Amino acid sequence: MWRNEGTTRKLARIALLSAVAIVLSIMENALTDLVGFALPGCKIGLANSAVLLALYTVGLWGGAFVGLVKILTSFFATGSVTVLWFSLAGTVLSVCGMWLLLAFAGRWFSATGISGAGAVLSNWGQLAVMCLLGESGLYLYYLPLLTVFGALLGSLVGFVTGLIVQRVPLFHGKKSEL
Amino acid sequence: MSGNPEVGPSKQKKIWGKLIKPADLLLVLFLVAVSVAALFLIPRGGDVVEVTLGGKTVWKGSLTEEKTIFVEGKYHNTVCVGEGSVWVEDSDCPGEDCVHMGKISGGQIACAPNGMLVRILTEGEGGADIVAE
Repeated sequence: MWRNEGTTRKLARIALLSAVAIVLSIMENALTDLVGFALPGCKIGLANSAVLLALYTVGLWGGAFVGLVKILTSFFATGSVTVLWFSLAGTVLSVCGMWLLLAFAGRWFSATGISGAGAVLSNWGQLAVMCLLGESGLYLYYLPLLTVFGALLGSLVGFVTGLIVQRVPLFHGKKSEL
Repeated sequence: MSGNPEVGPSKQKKIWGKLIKPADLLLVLFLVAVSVAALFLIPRGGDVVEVTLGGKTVWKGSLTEEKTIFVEGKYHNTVCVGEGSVWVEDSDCPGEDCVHMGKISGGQIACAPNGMLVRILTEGEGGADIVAE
């Protein structure tokens, strides 16, 4: 889509989506503290919505940049290097995975499935880091649970993102102000 | 198709399409299936048997090998390892609780009178405990 738009437009789009990612990341951190999700590493993945939008509207590098912003935000918000490694692994995997799905099988999947797969990949990446840091394969028993949660929450986020894109004129083509 | 470069709401709707497609469900179910399947691929050969007598390690080896260990203490235990499990074949200790424990593939067998302990260590156990923040 937006093939005809200029670099400036793309830049503006990335900047805007980065801002969205920052806000959602901070909101997410607050939410996680508030609700105190029993599962470590299990988040709703709200900020993934911005990454998804960037992938759809700007492409791989847009998604990667917004993903990077998301990682740095959660790093600065928590100040934990462990969190940095977790989110780095998760985001790299999920951005690459979602982009591959979008680029090569985009016509079969909607945002719901792609976001769900992205969330699952993100959780897999985090679990891999967990195993490496803990030098233990035992954490793998956690895999199905994390996958189910990732699939459910990720799909939900993707679905809502899709709804927003359909309803908000901002995302509609050339006439958009974005 | 029509050669119209204009990307309007209709085109936009088409790209995002229906919000849930059949393939989405398949994709997600596939990933869940992969994760469950991966559980069975966790290497079980990593399990290690450790036999200690009075706190000292007498023998340590893989659970997958075939081995008979004679533990000579105050009493005598014959510990057998094989087919992914470990058991005390014979003992001259009073009570012979260790023999009655039967074959185990996890946990431990203790022979209190002899001070003998057979433990199965899962790979990575005893390593650093990390807590995700």
